[in-house]
Amino acid sequence: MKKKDKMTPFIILMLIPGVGFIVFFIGSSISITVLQSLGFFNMMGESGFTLGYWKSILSSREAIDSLLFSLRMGILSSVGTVLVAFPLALFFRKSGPAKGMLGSIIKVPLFIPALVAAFLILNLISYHGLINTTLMRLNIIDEPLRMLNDSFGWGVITIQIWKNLPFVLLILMSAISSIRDDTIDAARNLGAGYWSVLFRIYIPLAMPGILVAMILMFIKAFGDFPITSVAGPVYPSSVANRMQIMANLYQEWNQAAVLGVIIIITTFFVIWAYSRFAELVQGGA
Amino acid sequence: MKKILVVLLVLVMASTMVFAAGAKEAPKAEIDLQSASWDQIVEAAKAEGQVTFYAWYFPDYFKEAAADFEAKYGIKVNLIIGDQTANFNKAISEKDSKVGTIDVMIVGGQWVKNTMDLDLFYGPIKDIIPDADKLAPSLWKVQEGVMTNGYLAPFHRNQTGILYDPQRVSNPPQTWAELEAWIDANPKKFGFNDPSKGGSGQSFVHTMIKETTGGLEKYVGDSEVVPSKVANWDKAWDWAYSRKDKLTFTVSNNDSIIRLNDGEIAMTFGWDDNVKDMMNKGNLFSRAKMYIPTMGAAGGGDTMGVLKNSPHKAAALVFIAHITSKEQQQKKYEMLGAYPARTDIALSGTLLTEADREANALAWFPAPYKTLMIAEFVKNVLMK
Repeated sequence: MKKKDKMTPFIILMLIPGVGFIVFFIGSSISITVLQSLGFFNMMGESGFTLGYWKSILSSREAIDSLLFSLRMGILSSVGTVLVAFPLALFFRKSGPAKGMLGSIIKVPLFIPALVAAFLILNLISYHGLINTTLMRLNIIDEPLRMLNDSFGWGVITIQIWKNLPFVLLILMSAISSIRDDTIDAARNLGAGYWSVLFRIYIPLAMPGILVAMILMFIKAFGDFPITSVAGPVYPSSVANRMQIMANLYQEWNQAAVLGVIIIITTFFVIWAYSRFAELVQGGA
Repeated sequence: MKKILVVLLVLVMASTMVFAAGAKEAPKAEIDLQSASWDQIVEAAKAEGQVTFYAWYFPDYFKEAAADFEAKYGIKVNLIIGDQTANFNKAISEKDSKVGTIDVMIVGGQWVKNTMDLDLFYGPIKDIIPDADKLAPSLWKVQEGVMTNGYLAPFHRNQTGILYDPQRVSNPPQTWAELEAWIDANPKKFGFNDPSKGGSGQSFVHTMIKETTGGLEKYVGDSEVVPSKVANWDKAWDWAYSRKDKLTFTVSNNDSIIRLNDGEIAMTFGWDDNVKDMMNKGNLFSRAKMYIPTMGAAGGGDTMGVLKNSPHKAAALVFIAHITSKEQQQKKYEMLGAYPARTDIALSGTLLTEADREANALAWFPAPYKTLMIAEFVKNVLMK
């Protein structure tokens, strides 16, 4: 049996930079947000325990619409990015001519800030943007399409996929590269076709990587502020945008804190669901 | 380990409380600023030696203005160009400290109500600042519908109006009926921003309420919303909702201007200073025209306030006097095209004429109505 390390003052001292950072900066900010959502640390008035702010948010249709919109953006952006990135990860699995250069180009969005990415894509989909100009020149449409700030959020999803593709690709490439060629060859020898290899070898074996990519993408897209503020619909706002409106426009800091706590809880829930799903996948394998 | 973490967390919370409670004593001013002569205030300002000024726009102008101030008075200016929200959050978070770190700051319309409610500013300062009577008189009293009563000094005026492309709008509307007819004849060509995301959209909705529900006079002087006065606002929401497919909703003041420049819309509501800035930067074609229609459009301006816990109050007052001086107001206009708060400066090349402002500019209704207007517009028009 492994002997348990004793907590000596020296070990505690060595832990301070890491644990101290988490406790002081992350722990304190989260705890203050939670306390604010319950009526404490009130910036504008009397402080004291109340569930009124939670009640206000949970009974507000704007807040619920924002939550549903952010969930939709989180889920569709994560699924969309993985769907686009997975074939690319398979393509880049083996080295080949021009793949190095292609691989470098595809990583460019990784170094572009989200806000800049949003403006770049807006140039494509604006009223006289590249897409409308091309469609008009080809006589496919008579009048430009109004694609900016669409009510469903397709513009946001497109930008999320464009921006985060290299990030997800790196995770999936790492997961796929760990699949041994022997396994693929054995399946082929036993008569498996391309689709069988894809669905019965690549996807199941890359599932941990797929799940990690999806969860990280979900968290990024769910809590996104810059992309939805530029390219999102006029209504509803994302949860993060709604937080900003509640705090800065209406000066409802406690209600903004409730929305912050909802983002945190949703993120923790998704991580918990991921770990449960990962256990099931591993158990079933 | 768990015990250690718990102890650390408790220490964090306790230290937060201690920092929040800890406050230094404010140094008492050696002179009574309310009764002192201006020369005495300038002397006291020089003795203080420095002033910290928070702003969030016009960085090039304020750098020059600060250099001019330092050269004229020998008082060092700590110029902080921050984010608007961050500036106010800092001022609010310091409000219980007896000595703050901000001496003077710009007060934008969005923050007037809260900062006045929180009693953040020293004053009144109207009787202290020289030439105070030359600065927009109405803005000394009311800003964005909030009574400021001489606590906040006007230094910049702005005004909303209709901005349009003269190549696509030959006869721009002046009355509500004309605007309505134009929108019906040109679907999707008139746009304005979601009022929760910018003041020009708020101004359009403000005019819409004025025109569809019987004017704005009934709201004057109210500090709270009177339910009976807003009972017929559904007429305004019905007007907008029934034309939802003919209107273009944008996501910010700038977005409206960008869409006009892009040709998506031909007419919108905009702020004169914002439009001028976009033109100067080449983001809007120079042929664009702007006017205040006879039905009216809201206007206002920004002010400067001295924080109650400012450690350099005399220097802050002298700095405000400097920024509102004729020379500096003229310089600001020449550098930025930003409309001065002084009414005794002859200007040329303005987007809106002084006569237009006098005849058609509207004062905002009180802030509680404005907040309600934004929330109700989202609920009754955008959400449906």
